[in-house]
Amino acid sequence: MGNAPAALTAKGIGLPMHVIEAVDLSKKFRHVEALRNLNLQLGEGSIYALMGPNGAGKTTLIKILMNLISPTAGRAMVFGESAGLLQGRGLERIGYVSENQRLPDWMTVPEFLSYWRPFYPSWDCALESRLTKRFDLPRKQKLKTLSRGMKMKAALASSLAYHPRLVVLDEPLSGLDPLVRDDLMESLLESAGETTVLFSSHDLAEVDSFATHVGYIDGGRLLLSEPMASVHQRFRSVTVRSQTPLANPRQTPAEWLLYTASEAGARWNETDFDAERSPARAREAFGTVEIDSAPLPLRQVFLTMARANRPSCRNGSGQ
Amino acid sequence: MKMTLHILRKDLRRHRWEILLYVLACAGWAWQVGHPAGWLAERIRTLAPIVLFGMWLLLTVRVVQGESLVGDRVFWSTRPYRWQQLLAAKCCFLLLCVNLPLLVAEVALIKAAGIPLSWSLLPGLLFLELWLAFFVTFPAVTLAALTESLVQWVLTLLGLLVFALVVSWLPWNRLPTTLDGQENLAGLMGMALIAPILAFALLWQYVRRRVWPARVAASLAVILVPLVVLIAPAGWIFSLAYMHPQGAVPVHVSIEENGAGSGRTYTRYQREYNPEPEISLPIAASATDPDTLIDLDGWRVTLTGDNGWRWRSPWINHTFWFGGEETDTSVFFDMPPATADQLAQKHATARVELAFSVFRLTPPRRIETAGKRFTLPGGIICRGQPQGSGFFTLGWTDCVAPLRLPEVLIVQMESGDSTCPPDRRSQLLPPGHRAVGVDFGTSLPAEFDPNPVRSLNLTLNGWFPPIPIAPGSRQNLPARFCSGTPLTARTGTSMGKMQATFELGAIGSEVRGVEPADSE
Repeated sequence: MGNAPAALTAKGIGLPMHVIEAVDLSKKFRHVEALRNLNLQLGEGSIYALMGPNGAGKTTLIKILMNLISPTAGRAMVFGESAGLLQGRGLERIGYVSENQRLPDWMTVPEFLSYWRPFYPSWDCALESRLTKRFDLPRKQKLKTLSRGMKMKAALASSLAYHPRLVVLDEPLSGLDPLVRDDLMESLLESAGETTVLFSSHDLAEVDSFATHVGYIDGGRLLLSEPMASVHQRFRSVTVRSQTPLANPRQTPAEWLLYTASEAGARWNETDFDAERSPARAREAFGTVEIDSAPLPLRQVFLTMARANRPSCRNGSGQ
Repeated sequence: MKMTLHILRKDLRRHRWEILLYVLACAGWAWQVGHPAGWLAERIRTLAPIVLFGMWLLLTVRVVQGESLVGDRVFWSTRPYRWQQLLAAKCCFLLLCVNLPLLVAEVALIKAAGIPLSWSLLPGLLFLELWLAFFVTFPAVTLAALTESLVQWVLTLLGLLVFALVVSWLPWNRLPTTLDGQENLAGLMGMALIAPILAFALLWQYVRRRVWPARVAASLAVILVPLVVLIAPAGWIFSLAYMHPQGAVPVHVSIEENGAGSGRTYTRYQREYNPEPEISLPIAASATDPDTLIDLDGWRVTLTGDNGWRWRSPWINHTFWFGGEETDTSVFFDMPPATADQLAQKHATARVELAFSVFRLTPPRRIETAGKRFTLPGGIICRGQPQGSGFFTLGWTDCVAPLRLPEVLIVQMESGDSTCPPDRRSQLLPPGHRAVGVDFGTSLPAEFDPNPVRSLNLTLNGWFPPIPIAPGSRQNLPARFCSGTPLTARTGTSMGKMQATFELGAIGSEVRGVEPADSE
């Protein structure tokens, strides 16, 4: 990877600085509230998956962070500077790839890469060469003749070859076949090193394996934002079994979502699982029962949240 | 600088075919203008400038929108471009690919017109390029910076044209802004208002890429200009456009006595095409200095009569000039029939206000015209042979000048010097008559026209005093120029536009007018 970045610190006081920080961020398009008082902090080296259904506000958030649009209210910071001032030299350490970004279609891939080379002092020709080979990018075809997957690979190669300290990917994998998708993600992870990655996706399957942090946004609100390990630990599917018919509790705790029960047992998704407290609460409700818990796959986590339709953000932090 | 050249190289490569088409359009246009008489040139006379202009705009819009400043999907906006480098690259491209080919075409046109090339033409040529860049490229670039695609650019342009049409329907004619000086000043005010706002919108886009504030600013400018010009007090514009002279008034005006000895008279004409009677006051207007030429832009007449009767004409835009020995003329104005009827009984006195330009003339220079070509002051080159020959001579000759004509050019011919053969209707010209031709150019280094060759048909007005075709005839001989007739030429420099008021006293009694006879 080469020039690994020094740890980011807040100016002068030695405190760790967030690579990305959004404070009470709101964006309104006429009558549509795309973002509502969104708060987000993204620490150095994290790989943050911003999840959410289509139209949730993921792209809007990313566009504000990349200074492509302005927020209606609130504050967005990238590397400690206002995102609204992000341009010129400030973009030398950021790589951005978006599914709907227009590329200079009239260039071939080598022209495309060599055009960007002088813009970045840290451009790594060896890495460029490796990425070109790995992505099997054609040398003679113009970008306009390439498939969507190939275009995304070319865009990604041009955004990784200079060791950016922050990579922002807006739906980079949507619509790509699984082979291309895996190829892209592997390359990204290999090249990333200590790079901070923020990527948005509405495809939950691609996140589980490599994201260190995850956020879930819906209706412009960030409903969840925490480390992946915490999500797996906190969101669990709980099953209780009993030899005798269960007496169902009159009221279930708020953390028990999608509760179903039969005489033989009950099942729910718990949003705040604690190894000691949660079994105790189950025994309190059902008496002597056999209790099993398993981490919820992300798909289940978000389905649970979407169905429950209520905020479950614990600390709003991606650190 | 390095990155500016890097972006420029990319643009040159990307737009190479468009550049080639533009260069071809330039060459085609220059060829057509340089050889207007050919069969093909005749047929592409209208097409060539349209293609040139179209390619010019197309190239401008395409290169600016190559790094579109509108939209959040553009490929470059998340890359470390510096706006100064991007803007500089685009400016370099336009200078190199739009202005330079045009400059070369202009030089070729000057050479083809037989005007010797010299470095002294360079400042004027560069000024012309700047002039064209300001009036054509700059608005096109600004519009391109505010639109996302060529289609959007064209649609916006069409919208602006519709807006201009609507604005042209506004009651401009109700405003007394018809005098040249007022119109020029109003135009200048509009330009002074719109240019900085458009420049701001353009810079704002490059620096911040926030399209709506820039669009609002540009729209406001477009709407504000006609509005400001419309509501600006006409009197204020007039007083700015036509200053009172600092020293002595350089014009003298008095009412002419009737030659028949009946004292002062004014003439009332009833033209067939005009229901309002035309009143004509004979005046003698002259420049107070023989080295001054007065170019009148218009006049206004105030009549005052018995019992406080008062009538004032609007400003009448009627251009004529006087100076040197040219004095006699008349001021005329339309009057409602009832008022004209009253006028005869009112014992009216007249006050005339004049709005005019003053030119300081150079000493006369004698020009020999015997050769194939002769040169007039201001670098004007004329063909020695006038158009036509012998009996059918048309009496004028083609002249060309690089970039501009002098602010004023006066050419005079004496009848005694004429080398024209007598035609079947006339005897040899009697001496003591003169024919004068006056042409006006510009004070700027170049006129606003991509063709840098200014054409001048050197035409002389009729003989003065007039020479009748035959004794007793009301038809007069025209003044023809023939090769070899010496001319006297003077040029002039503008001293500014001025206004002056003259109390003329009683206008006298009414005479019913007869349509004046035209010369041959």
